[in-house]
Amino acid sequence: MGKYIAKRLLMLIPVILGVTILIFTLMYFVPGDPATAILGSSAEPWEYEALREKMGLNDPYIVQLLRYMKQVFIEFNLGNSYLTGVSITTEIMGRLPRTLILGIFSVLVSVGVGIPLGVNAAVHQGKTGDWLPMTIALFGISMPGFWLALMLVLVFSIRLGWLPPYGMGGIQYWILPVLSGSFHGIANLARQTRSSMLEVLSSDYVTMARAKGMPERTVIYRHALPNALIPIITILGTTLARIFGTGMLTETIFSIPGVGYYMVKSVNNRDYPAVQGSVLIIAVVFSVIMLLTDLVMAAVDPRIKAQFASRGKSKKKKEAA
Amino acid sequence: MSEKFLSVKNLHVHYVTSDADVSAVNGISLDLYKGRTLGLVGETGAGKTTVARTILGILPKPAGRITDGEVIFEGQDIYKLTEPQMQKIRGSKITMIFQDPMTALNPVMTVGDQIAEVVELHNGGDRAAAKKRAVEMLETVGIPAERYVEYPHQFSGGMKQRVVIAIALACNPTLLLADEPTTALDVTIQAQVLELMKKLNSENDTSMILITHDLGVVAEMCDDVAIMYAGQIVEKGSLEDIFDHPQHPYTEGLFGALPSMKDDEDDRLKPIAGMPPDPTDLPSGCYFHPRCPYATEQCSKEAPCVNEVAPGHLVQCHLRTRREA
Amino acid sequence: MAKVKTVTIDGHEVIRRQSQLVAVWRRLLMSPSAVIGMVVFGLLVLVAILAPVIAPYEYAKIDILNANQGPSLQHICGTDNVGRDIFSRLIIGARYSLTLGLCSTLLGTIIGMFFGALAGYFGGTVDEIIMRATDIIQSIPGMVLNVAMACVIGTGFWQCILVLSIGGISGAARMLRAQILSIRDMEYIEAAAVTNCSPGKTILKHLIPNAFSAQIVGMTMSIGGNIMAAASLAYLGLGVAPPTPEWGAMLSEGRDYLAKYPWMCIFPGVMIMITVLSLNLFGDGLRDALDPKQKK
Repeated sequence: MGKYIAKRLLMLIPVILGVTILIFTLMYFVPGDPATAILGSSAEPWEYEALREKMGLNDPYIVQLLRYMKQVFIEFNLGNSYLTGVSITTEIMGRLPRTLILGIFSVLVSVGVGIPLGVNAAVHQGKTGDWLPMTIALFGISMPGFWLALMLVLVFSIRLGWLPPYGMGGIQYWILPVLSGSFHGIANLARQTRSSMLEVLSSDYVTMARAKGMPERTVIYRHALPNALIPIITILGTTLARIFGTGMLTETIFSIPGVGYYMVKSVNNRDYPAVQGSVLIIAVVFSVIMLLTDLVMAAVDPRIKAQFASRGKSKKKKEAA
Repeated sequence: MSEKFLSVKNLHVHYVTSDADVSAVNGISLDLYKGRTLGLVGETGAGKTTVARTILGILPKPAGRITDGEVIFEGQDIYKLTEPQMQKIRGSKITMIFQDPMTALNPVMTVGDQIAEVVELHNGGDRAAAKKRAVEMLETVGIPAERYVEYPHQFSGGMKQRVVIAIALACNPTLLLADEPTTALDVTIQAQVLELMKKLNSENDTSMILITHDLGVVAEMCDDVAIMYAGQIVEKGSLEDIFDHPQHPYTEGLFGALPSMKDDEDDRLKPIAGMPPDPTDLPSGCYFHPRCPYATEQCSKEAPCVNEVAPGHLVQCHLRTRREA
Repeated sequence: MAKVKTVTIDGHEVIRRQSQLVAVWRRLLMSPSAVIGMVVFGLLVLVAILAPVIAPYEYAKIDILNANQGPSLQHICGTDNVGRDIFSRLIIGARYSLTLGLCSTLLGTIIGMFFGALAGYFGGTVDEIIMRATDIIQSIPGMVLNVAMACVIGTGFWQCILVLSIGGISGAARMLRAQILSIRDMEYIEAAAVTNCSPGKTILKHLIPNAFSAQIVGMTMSIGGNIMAAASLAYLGLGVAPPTPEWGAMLSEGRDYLAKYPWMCIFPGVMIMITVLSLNLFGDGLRDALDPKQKK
């Protein structure tokens, strides 16, 4: 298992290098001149030229790319904001915890609510415990998260006055963001769990467990659920992507100073190094979380675990032969 | 003959879904005696598996319905038992071997635990004893004890079926329902698995209902035979009755569809014409009449009744009724 | 099981394919939710086409005297902060939102299928490069990628279509590649190779039609996803900009009036939800109809 983790971590490196190259290249070709962005439009022409020279913007693309990569991966420095001149690394690292709190809690709520709902629906197929939550879930996957956030603010903050509409502070400030951030996840996981569970419940090994004389609860929780969860873990990836993606909108609506909010602001301000840095950090965080779900998957499913083991073994066998 | 301990009387089972009402079993009666093996033979879709699942009380949940009949096991009508009482019988007194060993084992549980689990369930929760018994069972079916911790994907089909057999026999059942136990296996493995089952059954004096469409397996394993067609038993009797004096045209047809090694007369196979009937829309009269070479007008109108052509040899066919008269 | 019609060998292909389509269509009609989805979406498309005829008011007409009115008989969805009729704007907005969803999905799927077909058919290095590229793109969450692309490509209607289509490329490519790999070794593909069918022709004539059903289901679902993504981008000010009555843009305009005039926000969101819901219902039904084996 340790070997597998190490291997997966190594596989992360080319992906992150790729993201860096991709995003640098995209931003390189964005129309507009960084010098103008920094100095404004009222400076003397020689000032622009001097700044461009100083920033290395007159160097060929490849030189600039390598310089950026060296700066990011060796000095761990994402550069300075065009707008404020502040270090982007500092800005993002300061904001990252809030984005992580929002993301992680949204994921936990999605999993903690969505999966039990789906299991319950599959077990009580056709009854109220099935169609009622599933109808709500169908609406849940059909509404934009940010609109739900606005509606929650309208009801719980503006009309009822129970919860603050935006800002930072105690736990009450997190309730609406997490709720709107996880609603789609809850709905999606509940639907997927239900269908996966229904498939597993009609499988032979579940019938076999019943034939052993097990009580239905044991059949469901010991035999059906672990198998039904395997495809769900794969879907968790998409759910995570969505939660981290829509996190930008959630942060914007609730004025949570996280990385997503920072990125949206930077895009609107044409602050390209900041956009570049934000995308890079989000991609790294996201990849690490995806890696973790893969590891969970390997821990749950012995067939996957065996693949790495046997891959290693068969290689050795081939060498010996 | 020894004591009769399983008796199925006039059993009717339907599968009801939103689009269809499938008559899977249409009035089956059969008796099983202690220590004997009954072969239940028929084409795919004849309702063999449904009979086994009904005896065990594990019909697919919302769809499967017993519309009539009773199953008496060791003097008790098992449908009068509560679910917890039934759970005590399932897996200990009556057990089942499933058709496809590839899908019958839980892929995320070690094979040892899957055997130990059923023992623990029925021995009052003694985990250590259950583990010991599981190891013992693995060795009994010819799997080394150290493979206890392995997962089903690490086993071949034949080995998996051995594990399934170990699970089925771990609690010394009195009745074993074997649903096509060798169909999914290679021919060479088939013989080994059958031999193993035969040996273990005679050691423990286990009675068995062997479901199969393979007459060779029947000849090898069974004392009595029942031929099923469209959810009914069309003929039943001892092995000799059925093999040497088949009476029902369908039984004859089954033998005619077997390749023969003797090349007398013509060596062509004689398949039964036509297709098995659609269980949502069964033919009138005798269910076999559309495919029967001897069918008369009476066959398409009246359902035939059961005739005893020899002691213990029963046939459900108009042809025999006429012959008697 | 549907009863199999006997088809003579001489009358082959056409009859069989047609009867397959007919079977799928019949199964689709059997599902009430799929029919509801289909009818609702059909109505929305009709509304979008006939928008100027249906709209009770000129959608861009400013009428300050009637600004900020709640829903009433004259203005069933109320009026916005400058007195434009919200109902009329929603109807015109259907044109923008539906076109955005449809075009971006179509474009993304076509480009994705092209790469997926290349990767799946040629395998080896081509496959490796394309798959690593999709790995990289998929390591950026969809919405983050959309925002970054909007930063590069710019804002506006056509730009937004392009931005959203990029998000769909890697998914479609991977799906097609997986399907090609699963059917590549089947006998009829070998038969095509034996009869000297060129690679391009094999891809077009054999692989893609066979892999099509899953793509269509995927597309139905991603139209809805893209409509929501377009609205999100517009809300962030990175998509279609006000005063264009795209639903997301209307939401973005209404956000400042949420407390006082909530109908400016409620109705555009409801329209998005109805549209996406109808597509999801239709997509679910289509998936079941195309693959009856999976249906419970």
